[in-house]
Amino acid sequence: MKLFWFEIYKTFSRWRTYISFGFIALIVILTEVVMKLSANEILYRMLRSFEKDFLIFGNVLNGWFVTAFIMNSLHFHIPFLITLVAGDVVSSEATSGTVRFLLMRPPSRSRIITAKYLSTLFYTMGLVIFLGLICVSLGLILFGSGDLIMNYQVPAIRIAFVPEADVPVRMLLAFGAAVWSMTVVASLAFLFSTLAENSIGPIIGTMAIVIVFFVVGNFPFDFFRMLSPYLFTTYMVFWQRFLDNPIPWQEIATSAAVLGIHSIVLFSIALAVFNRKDIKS
Amino acid sequence: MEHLPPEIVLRTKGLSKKFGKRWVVKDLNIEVHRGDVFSFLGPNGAGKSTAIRMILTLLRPTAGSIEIFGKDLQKNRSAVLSRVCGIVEKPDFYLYLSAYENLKILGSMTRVVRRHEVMKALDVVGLKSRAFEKVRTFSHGMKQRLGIAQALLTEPELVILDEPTTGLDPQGMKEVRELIKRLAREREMTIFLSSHLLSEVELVSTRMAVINQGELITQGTVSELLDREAMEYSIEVSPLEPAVALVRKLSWIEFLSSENGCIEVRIQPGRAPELNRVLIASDIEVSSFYPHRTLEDFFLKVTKGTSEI
Amino acid sequence: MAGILFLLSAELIHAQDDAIRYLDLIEKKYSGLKDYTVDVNVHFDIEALKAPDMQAKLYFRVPDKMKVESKRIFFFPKEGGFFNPFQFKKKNFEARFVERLIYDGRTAVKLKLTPINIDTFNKGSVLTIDVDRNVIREIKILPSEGREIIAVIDYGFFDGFDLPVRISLHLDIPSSEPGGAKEFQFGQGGKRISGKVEITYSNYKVNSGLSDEIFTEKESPGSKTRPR
Repeated sequence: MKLFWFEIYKTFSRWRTYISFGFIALIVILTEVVMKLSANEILYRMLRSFEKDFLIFGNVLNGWFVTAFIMNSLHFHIPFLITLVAGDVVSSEATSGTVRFLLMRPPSRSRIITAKYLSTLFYTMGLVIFLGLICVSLGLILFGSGDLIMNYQVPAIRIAFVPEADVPVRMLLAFGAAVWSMTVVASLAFLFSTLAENSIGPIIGTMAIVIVFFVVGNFPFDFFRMLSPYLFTTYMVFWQRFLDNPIPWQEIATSAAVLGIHSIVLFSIALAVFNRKDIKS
Repeated sequence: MEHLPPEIVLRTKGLSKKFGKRWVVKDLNIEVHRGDVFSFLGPNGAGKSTAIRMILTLLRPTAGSIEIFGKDLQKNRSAVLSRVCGIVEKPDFYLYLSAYENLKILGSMTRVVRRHEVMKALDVVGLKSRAFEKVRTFSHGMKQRLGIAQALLTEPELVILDEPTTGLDPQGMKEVRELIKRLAREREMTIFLSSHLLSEVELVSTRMAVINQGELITQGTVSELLDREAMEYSIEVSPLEPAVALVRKLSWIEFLSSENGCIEVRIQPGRAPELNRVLIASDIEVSSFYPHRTLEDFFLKVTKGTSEI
Repeated sequence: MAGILFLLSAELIHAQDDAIRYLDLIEKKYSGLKDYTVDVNVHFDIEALKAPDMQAKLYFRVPDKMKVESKRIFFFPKEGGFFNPFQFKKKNFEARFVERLIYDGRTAVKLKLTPINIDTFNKGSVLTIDVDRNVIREIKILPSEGREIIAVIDYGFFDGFDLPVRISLHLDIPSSEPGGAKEFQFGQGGKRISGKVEITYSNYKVNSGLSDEIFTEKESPGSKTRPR
């Protein structure tokens, strides 16, 4: 535990850690303010299809919807911010030379790398939770509360309503799932960090994989659809399922398992690499 | 495993390291005794740093074993390293943390370290007033001192230093030298250091080993190693020419040069008094008779393979 | 030939007169109705709209003032959802008698109504009217733009008036228009929304004297209110 808290202390002693949180806050504030100013336009575009046949009442554009919207649109921003820290946590020690001091100490390499990994996950969780807190709190202040309307394309095009009373718990579960999803990105960046002597490679490498996988997985062509189940990015949006009605528990369990296996395998490789690595620098 | 005599703190047996196809360290067998200031000498690329890194578990040996305090390092890593401290190359710290924070974190990885202990270690190296400043504001010399402070903090029994005076000015070198001697004398620490500054090594070391191209050339106490070698002497004589003629006749003396009333000769240690008697018996006045014995000479000899050893 | 044409037109005129008569009877039946307030529960049985039952309070005042009050998001079908006994005024429609039939065990007539001002949205409706009670039992919105809606109405008797207790809407409508941000779009072009919406009405308060203020509430951003 001591090693873990040292790593947390080191991570949060660096100003670049706070850049991530500041960036999140800025994006959320800007997005929500713009949405507030453009509420009517948003509503019109949102409900255009249904307005022909339905009268729609109530606070549709509420804080919960805005939160879900922001979460949905940050496919790359959040992974990038996570990668900034996860891709640097091991390689920066090599760059700065402190890895020598670290590995000459009694704690085994396994314990050291595990502490670093857990601190990376802690940061990941902190970032996602911060996103959630700021989205929800600002969203509820600006837009108020209400039922949540979610639009789904899979397995069929449909709208799901989540009653207001259920939304907080669903959101909590959704954010938990989002943390779980981002763990894979963190694990991938972490692995690259153990392989590299500087941070740029891990950051770029991780983002390249996330972007390519995401794009390939969403191409509407048969060949890419075939590849889609084998790409971890396909499962990363499973947090949305907690906002579905009814909640598809089987699908959630499958996605969580796939992502969990990815994280475990990636960390295991990182552990093996780090344990065997010769420190020449 | 055989039990080591208690006075041997560090022992390597057949220690070897290969990078690709090249053997960087090959079959290294050294012994460091408790209380030694043990110097590890060798030209650049000889394998000193590689050997030290293997001892400090930064590199995995290709072959051989390392025993510290009588225990196999691989099997008892944690227990052994809690009694060892090392500085490899220049000491690097977390630049975004203060000196205090760095020592606290690094020290606490070995044992519980209290605030007053950290401050005391900083005080010893003269950095107490800068305890809470970020290390990025420190000069190279200050970082070196901070490195020694972190070495002192956990009161290790074995301190391993790789080129500890690199980049220091003469004053800094002197301070480090004095500190090393003090550590060995007052705190009974065993010091294992590598250096290419032979004058420094000669001034602090009690034992040493010489490595070249990855292989051990020789090891022993400094005086043992130097006493094995023929030594050079400067002798102030009068009259000069007869003294030169006499010395040239003696087969057990190598005449080197004569100038300004002095002759330079090379003879085996222990035969200097005999030469003195011969000169006096030949009515040659001897005003002074002193040796030129340097480690540098010894080092250059053994590494070029010209030693009689 | 002229005689045949005369007979046909006479038949036509007779049919129209008959249809209008049924509309008159309905109008007369509800002439004493000034306003009502009712609690509404909407149950969706539509694959593309997974929603729990929605509740609201509905206010109606003659001739066509409607207001929905809901604390939560509330979707309400435009066609066939609101009960306004005066929506089929004879002056607004060309009514034609289609046939007599037995509907739900009762004598009924089918009328085809074509709006006098035709717009692209509403091509007209076919009403099934229970002639004994003079109530509309079924409204079938004629297909337009791929839109088919059938409303089946069951009545109860409240404070002297037959008012709906249940309207079952059968929908088969296109889901969306092309374009628009993906995050905003509900559905994609080419897909349809079909299924059933069941609206139940309860707790009627009839002729309680609703004021104009109820129907003039201000709309706030983020919410939509559409008084009819």
